[in-house]
This record gives sequence, structure tokens and C-alpha cells, in this order.
Amino acid sequence: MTVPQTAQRTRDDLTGLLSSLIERGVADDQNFPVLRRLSEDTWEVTFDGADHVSIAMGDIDYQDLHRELGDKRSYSVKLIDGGLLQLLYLFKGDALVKHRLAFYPSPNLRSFQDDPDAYMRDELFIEIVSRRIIPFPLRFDYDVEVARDMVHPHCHLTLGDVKGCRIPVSAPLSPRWFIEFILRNFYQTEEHDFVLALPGHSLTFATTLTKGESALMHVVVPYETCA
Amino acid sequence: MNRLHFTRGTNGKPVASEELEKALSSIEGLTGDCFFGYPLIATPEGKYFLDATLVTREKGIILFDLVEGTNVGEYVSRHDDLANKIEAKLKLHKELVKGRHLLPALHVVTFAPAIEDVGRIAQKGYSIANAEGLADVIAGLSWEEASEELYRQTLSAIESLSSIRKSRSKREVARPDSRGAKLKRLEDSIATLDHRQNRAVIETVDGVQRIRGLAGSGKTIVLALKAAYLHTQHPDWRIAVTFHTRSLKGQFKRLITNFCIEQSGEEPDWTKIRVVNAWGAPGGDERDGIYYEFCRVTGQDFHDFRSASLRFGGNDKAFDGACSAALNAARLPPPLYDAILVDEAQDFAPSFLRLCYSMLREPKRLVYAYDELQNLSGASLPPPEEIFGTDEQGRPHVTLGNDSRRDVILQKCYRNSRPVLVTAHSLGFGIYRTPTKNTETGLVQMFDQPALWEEIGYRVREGELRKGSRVVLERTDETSPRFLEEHSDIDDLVHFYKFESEAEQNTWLIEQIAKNLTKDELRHDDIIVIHPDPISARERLGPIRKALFERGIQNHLAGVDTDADVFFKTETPSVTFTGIYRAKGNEAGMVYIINAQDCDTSGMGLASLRNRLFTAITRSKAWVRVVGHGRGMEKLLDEFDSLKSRDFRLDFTYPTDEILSKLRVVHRDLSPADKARKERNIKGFDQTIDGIVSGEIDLDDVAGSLNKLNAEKRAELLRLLEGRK
Repeated sequence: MTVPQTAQRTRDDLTGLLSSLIERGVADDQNFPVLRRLSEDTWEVTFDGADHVSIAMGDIDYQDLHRELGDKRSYSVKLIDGGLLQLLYLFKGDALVKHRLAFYPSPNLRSFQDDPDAYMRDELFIEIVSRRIIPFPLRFDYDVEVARDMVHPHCHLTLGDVKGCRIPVSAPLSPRWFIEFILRNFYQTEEHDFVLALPGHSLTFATTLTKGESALMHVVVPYETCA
Repeated sequence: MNRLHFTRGTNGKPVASEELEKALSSIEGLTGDCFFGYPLIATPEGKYFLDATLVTREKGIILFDLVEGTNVGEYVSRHDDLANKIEAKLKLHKELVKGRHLLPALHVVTFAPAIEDVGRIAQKGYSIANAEGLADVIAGLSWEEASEELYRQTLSAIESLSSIRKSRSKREVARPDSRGAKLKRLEDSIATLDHRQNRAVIETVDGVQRIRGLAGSGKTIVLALKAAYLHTQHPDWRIAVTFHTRSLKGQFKRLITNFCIEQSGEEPDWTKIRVVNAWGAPGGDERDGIYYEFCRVTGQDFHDFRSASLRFGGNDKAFDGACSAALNAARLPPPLYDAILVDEAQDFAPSFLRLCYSMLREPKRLVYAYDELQNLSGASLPPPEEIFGTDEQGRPHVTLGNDSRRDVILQKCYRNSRPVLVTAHSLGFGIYRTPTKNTETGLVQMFDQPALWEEIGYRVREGELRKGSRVVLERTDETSPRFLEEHSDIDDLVHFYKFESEAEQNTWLIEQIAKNLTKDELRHDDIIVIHPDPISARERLGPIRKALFERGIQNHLAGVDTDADVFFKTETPSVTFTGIYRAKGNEAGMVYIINAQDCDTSGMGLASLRNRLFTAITRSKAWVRVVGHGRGMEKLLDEFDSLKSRDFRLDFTYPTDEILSKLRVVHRDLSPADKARKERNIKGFDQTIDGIVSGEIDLDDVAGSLNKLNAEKRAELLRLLEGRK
């Protein structure tokens, strides 16, 4: 039995990224990334505690969902402001067939960018927030099996957990690109540059965007710039 | 001679209780303890409590059935019921049983002070008395097996009827001498409440009650059980339990639930007994808080952390400002609570306690627990006369007087062993700190009242405990039980290490943690790593956490979103890393305090830095390592060595009033603005001196300024100049 290369590299990519987040103090808790064999030729890159992840699909209130994920430790990493990241990859042999990369911000806490210093200094009462927080979860899904040209792109970005929202994405995301996307957009401030400290890119996935999808507004993963 | 001690819980029969206390007090030849409204027991028919229980050396146990008014009802069947239930409970204690026979005599007496002719209703074999006849009835009771030892065992069994301390979860150990095995034995032996704790739980006074105690003396447990006791006795009362550190919430809920279920067989009614944050925010019951409720009910502006810090200043000032503003606004709330219990009161400004006070129904039952030395902000809590203000005639609203029921001190420390606790005090006060130039003492802070040392469980070994005198203080076996230290060598209980650099310290720490987990049979949640400075904790702990992660050792940082109850995750093994704020209220077997050098400085705010060290050290249930590098660490190490070479006794000269007031000024915390201003002034002066030295400023130019000095300052300056010659 040989462990498929790409799956292993995906796991290693993720492990290196978590290390960096921990070192910089932006990750409060995490689960070790694991590479698991599901059947003869299916492999999964996941985290301990992933058994409970199915509830994330259910039809429950976001507040409850976030709490449940937190209580069950169903995340790859918990960030400084209570934001949760889940990274799951599924491989058949050496080929990626599915991924689910989700960001669940806290419904109770201000976002990091809102008050970075209070978070970095770990002030005691940051959780005392009266303003209504509008949490905005987002997800990058990749699924070979259910893909349909234009209607259900292989890889797509879903905003705010809205069912019909599937913004086409040019290719599956490596852990490195997903983490950078989240950090750059939700955690970067003038004083705190967490992206700079991340390990380099080590993984590339081929483009899956169809001709039709490329004619729609879409998101591009710029693998060619970092190859 | 009569030496009876009364612990006054509630039983809903205040008149008869008072009469009983009076009558018992006048009976000759009784010694022992009398508890009103205690014990509470769960029975198949529901909760059950005793009107009064008297345990005496001479007569054994006397259970009282109190009758207010003149209707005694079915007192005979009540007697049988009481005796059966208590006998069943006591028979669980092996030392009190011989064969199937309960050794302590168990009597039941109905006390009906309002009935004049009790003889008319008395039935044979079932004692009933009024105030006049009580002495005769008791004289007729006997206890043949009476002995001092049996009396003590009986008393302790009665008091332990309300014990609920249980360790978090089972511990697997293979080697009997591993750290894990030692910890298991420690946890098993701290099973019951002691006498003072028990008394503090049962007795709640009308008005304000203050509970002071050392770290690890069980303040939180006492408060939780007290709340649960009041809730069980007065299910209709609205009771709040509040605190400073969020991580206490889970502990409180667990303790209250356990107590209610064990003592009354019922789940607590969380709509009546509320475990809430001090601050709170909109968003349902989970997020509610005392201050938020105040604002909600009075219709005032609510400030969250952000808006309060913008308006009143950061950190502690924010909440103080918010509370003061709410109180100063015109309308006070209608009475919302029958009792409020505040834990960690040392971390609140007086304004919060006043806010609680204003929300209470008469007779305003406010209970607050605090430990002076665990205050992390540098401002200590004033006496209650000052906190709660005065009325129109200038009389204080609240005064505790010399009433030991209103002012409770818990002096026994069950968490930290003697060497660990004395180390914490020694460093917290700077007992062996070398004085700097121009200062008379190395002390960082000191209690204003010398007597407080004895109250917190120290004994004078040499010298005299009074201002201006040299004194040597030590802890006693009574206040620091031996079993807490006998499990390990003293050098293993508490150890200080100085490293060459932070990196070297971190490497050592990582090895130690790995060893604790693999060889010592410690669980992940037995270990806490504390970086005392809250501001840099995240950054400085990062590299260590990363290295552990890369070695496959799970760890987490106690952060804002670390849920109260999972500060220690027993089901997911994970080592806790934390700054000082979130370390509070928690404990673990092995405590590592890293970068301790930051707690020694020649600058401002040394008192609160030392309090951080104190708080960190006292988190340890068994072992503590204080590590760091550089000059600061060297000084701490010197202080510790001095302490160790004196067998963990505190040997110092008690400061005079004059020095005490200086200490308060020298080491107090300045606000950031004050600090900046002071630094600017010193710098400006320094530049002036440079100017004089270089000749740029002529001395005549500053003569005018020098004239502003009064005679005293002039003399001081001269002394200073001459001293330098």
C-alpha cells in the first residue's frame, strides 16, 4: 500500500500552516491534521473530531451551529476571535475528488480586524459586545461527482451559506491558498501581517473551470504566479 | 460551664430558633456545636432539612424539631422520621458504627417555646420541652459511649453531610509513585469541608457579609454551596452568583447542581438562582449580566467593553466607569434580588459592589469573597464603610464591626502546600527583596494591619507582630495541612530555574512537558503554562505551542472564546497555555510560570507585577516551576533562596506607618497618562542637568526655580547631593 503523494502533501501543507498560525498567536486551538484511509483507494485529509461535521449541513440556527462546532471541537483551527476553519479533502488514488473548506466566524464576538489590539493583548472583557454581529460564513466546495457545467461548477465559493450561491472558482484550493484568503481578508491589519509568515506554496491543483464558467464572473486561484 | 457554638442557617422558624439558642446557652455543662437549618438531606420523598442539630460531647446528637405557635401536630411520627433518616445517613460512616449499632447517642427533642404546659401533650419516650423545661429534658438524656474522639468523629460526620468536592474525572495510574498517582491521592483526601467553611456556607447574615480567604482556601466552593443552600431553603428567592473571570461560570454551575442534587434530590431552578457575568450583554440568558440587567431594568444606556473603554479608559477603568455612570443616573432599580454573591471581589471596583447592593431587596444580603493579594490591577478594595458610603447623618450604610459572622476569614489552604504558599507570599510581598538605593525596605507591599497575618493562618515564631518590629512568621500544620507537602520532596514541590535566554527556557519547558506526559503519568489537563504578562502572552507562548504541536502534543491557549467549561478539556487531552487573567480561578497539578523575570522591575507598578506572580504560583495543587532568564530572574531566585534557607519562614521588619504609606505610593500603579507625564518630567529634568553640566545652562538661570523648594525639599536635595560626594 502506498500513500498517495498528493494527499500526503496536502496534509503536510496544512500541518505547516497550522504551525505558523500557532506560532504567531492567531490560533487558539487546533486539531492535528490526519490522513485517513477510507477504502481501497479513497483517502481523506481531515482533523480529529470530524465525526460531528455533518451537523454543519443541517438546518439549524447559526448561533447554535457555531456553538456546536466549538463544543465538539469540530474544526481544524479556532482563531483568535472565535472564527473556525474546517479543511477537508477527499482523494481517490492521487486525484482530488472533493474538498470542503469553510470559515465560520463567531456570531458573538467582534471580528479581529475590528479591534486587533484588544485581541492581541488578550483584554479581559472583549466578549462584552452589545452590537449585533452579522456573522458571514463562507465556503469553498469542490466536488467532481455533482459538478454540472455553469449550474454547479466543480469548485465554487458559497457566501453566507446561501443555497443557490455558487460563484465559480477556477481550480480547487490548496490549504495554503485557502488560509491566505481568510487571513488576508479577515485578519490582516496594518500592524499584523500573518500572511508574510506563512510557509511557501507547495501544492498546485489543475484548473477545472469550464469554458462556459469562464465567461461568468468567477474567482481565480493564481497557481501560475506561485509555481 | 457552657461552651456551645452556634451556626445559624435558615429554617423558616426564626422565633423558635432564637428561643432555642437562648435556652441552650443558659444550660450548664454542655459543650459542642449547634447548627440551625442543617443538615439538608435528600430522601426518596424529596428534600428534607433539620430545624436544628446539636452535637455535644456530653449527650451525643440532639435533633430538634421546632414548633412555632401552639400546634405541635404529629410530633411523635416526626421524631421517628427524623431519627431514622439521620441514623441512616450516619451509619454510612464506618467509624461511627459498631456491629449494626450507631455509636453516638441520637436523641430527638421537640422544642415548642409558645406552649406553656407541654406536659399535657407529651407522650412517653418522645421528649418535648419549652424554654423552662429544656434543661431538665436535656439533663435526662445520656450517652454511655461518650468519648472525645467519638465526639470529634461525630461532628465531622455531621459536617461532611454537605460535602460534594469530587475530582473532575477518573485518573488512570500504573505506577504508585508517579506524579499522577500522587495527584490522585491528593484529590481523594480533599474530600470534605472543614468547620469554618461549613459554617460560612450555612450562615448568611441580614446585610453584607464579607468572606476573605487565601487562594485555595475554598472561597469559590463556599460561595457556590452557600448559593445552593439558600436556593434549597428558599426556592422562591431570586439569587445571583457573579464573578470576574468567565471561566468560573462552569465551575459554579457544576458545584451548585451537584449540591442541589445531593442535598435535596432536585435540580436547581436556574430561573431563580442565576449564575451570571458581572458585566453581561444583550443576547439572551447565557450572555446576561448584573450590570446589563441594571441598565435594562432602569432603562439606562448600556456600555459594552468597546464603548466603555472609549469613554472611561481601558481595562479596569472601563467597567468601573460604566457602573459608576449607571449608579449616578437618577433612577435606581426596584429590588431585583434577595441575595447576591460576588466572587473575586478584589478585581472589582467599589462601584460594582454598590451596584449589586442597589439591586437587593431589604435586608440586602450581599456576600462578597476576596483575596487581597490576587488583585491584578493594583487598586485594593477599601473597607465596607467606604465602599457603601454613608447616610445623611454620616453613618456608614454598612459596617461589619467585630462580628465574625459578617466578616469571615478562611485561613486553611487546601490547594497549595506550605512551601508553595509561603513562596507565593514571600514573592508577592517582596519579603526577601534587596532594598534599592535610597529605600529603607525591600518590601513591595504589606498589610496595613499586622494582625491579618495571623488571621490568614500564620503564627509568630520569633519577634513581635507589630509595626516597626522584626518578626518571623510561619504557617502551622493546622492551616497548611501536612499531607499537601508530604507527597514530594520540597525541592520538587517548588523550584526556581534561571536560564541564559528565553530560547533555552523554552527548550527546557518543552522537554519537561513531554516528560510529564510520558513518564510522570500526568494528564494534559494537569499542566498549565502561565506567562504572567497578559499583553505579550500570545506572542511569547506561540513558539512553545508550535514546538509542542510539531511534536504531536496537543495544546491550546485560553482565549476569549475558550468556553468557560472547557478551560480544561478532560475529554480532549490538551495542555493549557494562558496569560495571568485567564489563569485565575483555575488550578492544576503542575504549574509552569515562564518569563518570570518580567515580574521584577525597578519601575512603577511592582505591586501588581508581584500579585501576578502570587496568583500564578497559587494555581498549583502540587508542583510549581518558576522560570525565566536575565537579571530579573536572578533577583527572584535570590529571594527564593533566602526563603528556602530560612525553612520557608517569613523573616522581616514590619514597616512603620510612615514606610507603609510610602510603599503605597511607590509601588502603586499609575494610569498610562500619569505614567507618561511622570516620565516626561524626569526626562526634562535630566536634560536640564545635562545642560548645566555642559555649561549651556547657567546655574543662575535656574536659581529662580530652585527657590520654589520649601525647606524640607531643600534639605532632602542637599542630603542627596552630599551623599553623592
